Amino acid sequence: MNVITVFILLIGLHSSAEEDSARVYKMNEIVVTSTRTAVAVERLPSAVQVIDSGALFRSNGSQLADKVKNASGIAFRSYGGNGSLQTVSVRGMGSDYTLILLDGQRFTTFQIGTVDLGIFSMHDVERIEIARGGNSSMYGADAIGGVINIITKRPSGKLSASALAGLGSFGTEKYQLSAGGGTGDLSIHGSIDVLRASNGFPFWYRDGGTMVSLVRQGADFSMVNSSLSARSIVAENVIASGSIRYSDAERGQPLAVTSRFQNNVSRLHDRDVFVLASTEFKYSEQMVFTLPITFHRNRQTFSDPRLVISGVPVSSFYENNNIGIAPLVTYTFSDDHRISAGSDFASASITSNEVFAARRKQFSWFASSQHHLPFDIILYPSVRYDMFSDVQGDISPKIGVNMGVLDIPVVRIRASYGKNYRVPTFNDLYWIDGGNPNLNPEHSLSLDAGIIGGFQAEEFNAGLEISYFSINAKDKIVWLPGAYGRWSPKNLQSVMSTGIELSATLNVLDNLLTAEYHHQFTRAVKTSADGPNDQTQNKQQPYVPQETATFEIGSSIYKFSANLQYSFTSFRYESPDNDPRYILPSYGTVDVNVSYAFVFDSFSMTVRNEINNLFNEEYQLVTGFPIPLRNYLFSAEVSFN
Amino acid sequence: MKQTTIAILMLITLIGCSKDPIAPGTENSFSTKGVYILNEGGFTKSNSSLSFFLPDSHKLYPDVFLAKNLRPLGDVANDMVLVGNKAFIVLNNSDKIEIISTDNHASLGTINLPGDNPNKLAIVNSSKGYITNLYKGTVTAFNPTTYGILKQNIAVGLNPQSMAVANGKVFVCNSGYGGDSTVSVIDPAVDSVIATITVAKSPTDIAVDSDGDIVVVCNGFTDYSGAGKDTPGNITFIDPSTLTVKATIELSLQQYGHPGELALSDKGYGFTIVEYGVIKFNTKTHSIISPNFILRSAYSIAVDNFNERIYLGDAKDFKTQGMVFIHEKDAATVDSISVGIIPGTFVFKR
Repeated sequence: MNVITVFILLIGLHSSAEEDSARVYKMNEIVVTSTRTAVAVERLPSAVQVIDSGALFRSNGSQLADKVKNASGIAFRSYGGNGSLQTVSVRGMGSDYTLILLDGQRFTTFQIGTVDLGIFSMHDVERIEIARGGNSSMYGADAIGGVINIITKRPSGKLSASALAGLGSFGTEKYQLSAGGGTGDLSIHGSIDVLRASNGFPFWYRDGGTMVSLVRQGADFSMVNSSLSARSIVAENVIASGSIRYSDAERGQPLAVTSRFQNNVSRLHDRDVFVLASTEFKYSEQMVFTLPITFHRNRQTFSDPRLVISGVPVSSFYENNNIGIAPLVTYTFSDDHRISAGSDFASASITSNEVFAARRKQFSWFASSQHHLPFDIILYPSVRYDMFSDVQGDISPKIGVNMGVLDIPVVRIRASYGKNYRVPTFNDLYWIDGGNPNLNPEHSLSLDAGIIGGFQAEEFNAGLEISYFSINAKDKIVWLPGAYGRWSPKNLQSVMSTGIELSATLNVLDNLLTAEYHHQFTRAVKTSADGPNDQTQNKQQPYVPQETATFEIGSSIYKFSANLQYSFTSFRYESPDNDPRYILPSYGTVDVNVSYAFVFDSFSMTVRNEINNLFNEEYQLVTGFPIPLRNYLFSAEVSFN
Repeated sequence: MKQTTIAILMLITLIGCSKDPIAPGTENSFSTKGVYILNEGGFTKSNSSLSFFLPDSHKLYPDVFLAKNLRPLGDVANDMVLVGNKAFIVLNNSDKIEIISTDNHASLGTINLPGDNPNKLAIVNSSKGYITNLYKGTVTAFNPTTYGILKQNIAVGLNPQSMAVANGKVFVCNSGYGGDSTVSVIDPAVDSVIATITVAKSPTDIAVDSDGDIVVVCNGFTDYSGAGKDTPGNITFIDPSTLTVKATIELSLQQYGHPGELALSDKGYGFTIVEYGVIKFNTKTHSIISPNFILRSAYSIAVDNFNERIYLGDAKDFKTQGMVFIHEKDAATVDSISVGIIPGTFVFKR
């Protein structure tokens, strides 16, 4: 059977599937995001943080934003608490410079280049990998600050079911149902998750000289997330898998608080479908083909009946449709040498009353390899070429190296250097009022160097990691006011982001004690001048904190578990000229949770209480948008295994 | 266990060594002649500010409201009107009017207008003033002495903006952001619209010239759909007694783009901002004196009747401190100062 026949066969096998090469990990430290193949984290050429199922359980919250906001190298932005728009940025580069993947496939749409992590439920998520730094040589556009890969639970075939109900502050209700099973070679798993709240949380507002206590108005939300996945061993060497994920988030979009009177009637409604079908074909022990096919539709509507322009209330919609096919072949020559090559074909379109209808076709080819050389040196060369129908494409090469220094304890050093890029978004190019169809991609050079150490004994394991990074971004697209009072984007600015990240982890006696510490310093400055005597040149980017730190400690004894998480974020400038009058002050929050599991044979019941912002820290992440003070969520879950 | 707890607490207090910067102190102001520069501030940033400038000594007090009242003005300061030794300041996105003394800038009161998005203000006399409500298509009447609301929801046209008072009547520009082309005339005696005058598309700025006529700048229609169906703006002269259009100065799109703010001198001439700078026109002959009077793009404009100097506000990137450029009556630049975010309104204190 030749290669072409195999491809034809694979395309013919359209039964639901998911990208399985992304699931070959066995241990927590095996990650897939950096290289598209399974590699132990300490052997990678660049920094990756894994948030595994244990870490997901230890932290508070139900949404993706809650789980990644305290990770290493991440800056978090939120327009309120649950139900509000929430984004993260990696390494000082802004949320639209971080690529979000779902099961290894692109989830970020081309419209704005960001994903609202506040409406992304964790109900079917197994683990998250955050690969910091540029990764265009592997994933193409938008992987400048980092890549966040969300890996969903894989159907095990075991008969299982669970139900959860939770009640919390501000009228929060949470419900989850999930079930799985299988017969012979077919496994399926499905779950549904509901999170809703009236969400009238109290906050303090400084009205003139006096602080007044107000209740957030118009922030209610209702979010439903559901998923169904299946996996089938079609033949001895063929696995087909598939999943469909649907979410519907309807919510108030309260405005910034600018007086003691709130008048929030605007609504935001997101509906998102993501379908992934994948076939894995093991041609031989050396050669594995995978063929993932994705379909992603996102429809967002926004309305503000109070904002009447020319007699018509503001109402807008944005619909993104995206189809992707990404065949991949991996050939393992020996334990020391491996090569992967593949393509990415995508067709993305936008329909909106604010953006001209547009379609983007993408053709990409990539290849990467790993070579274990003498002196325990591993080389990771990779290159990718992207071609787009509507904008200039690019070649993104990257070279990475990892070298062992000591075996016990493990000490390894690593470095990588690569070229990355970001394509102009549909909004940048086709926004009806001011879009610029002549924009070019933004480019960046990304350097990552670090040292990673680990010690593993029977009683405990400990890890320590220090990274230095620099991202030098050119031709950055900025919207500026121009003629006719219209704002329009141009490839104008250069930004240099540099920083140091420190991480330490400890696990004693199989989770009896777990501790994690992340601390980072980021200097992200605009290096270009927009004109003569530009007061914003060489100033820190607005909203990017210079320092963030997280400390987590947890303990799990028998069926009891308790966890505490402290996180600190330094002040952030609100204005690009770093005017000290306009800053968001630094803050520190403490979140805690306790849980207990009652086990009766194959049934178990887990009760859990989470308290967020234990010490009532009053802070804002975006000017004018208050964050809830102390709040809790109590939940009980029964499960059958 | 206790030691562990102490260690954890110590670690928590050690995390985070970055200190927040401290804003520089603001000076107290005093009563003197000068120029108020009202800075809109960034939308939702609640950083509007009121600067006071002494042109002779080139001294600027960056925020006299904050310095005196120890609180910021609010969000999006759209207008300021001086009456005697009182100033009325409109905070569009804080839904309020702040009233201060011009002697010491102390707050004299606040008129809260929840949900109104007040935009511009006009004072008729000591017992009657009006406020346009940007998204409601209405005007609110209030008493500038007691600060009480007299009548709400006086229906005018779409997205009403600037107002002027002439011949005992109030003239309201109904811009509709291009979707309206009328000026409503309100009779303060009855607090309702007694006439509607049709002008060109999107009238936004209005003032009274040295002859007592109403001068309106119409922006023209800006086609935000990208279809390129823009229509040109003009300068319209209205007779306040007959309520009819006397004359217009047409501003071709090709040459001027869409015009912006208006400033009138009491010496028979006026200015309007166009795409590339400022044009000067004659309010008596209704003709353009100089199409290239000042070649500097600007966000706001005012003319000081005392020395005929022209003040131009440059909002730059709309995020950082703006600039004010001061030009002699012959257009030569005499001074420039860095002010607050989006300098949008100038008021001369005599």
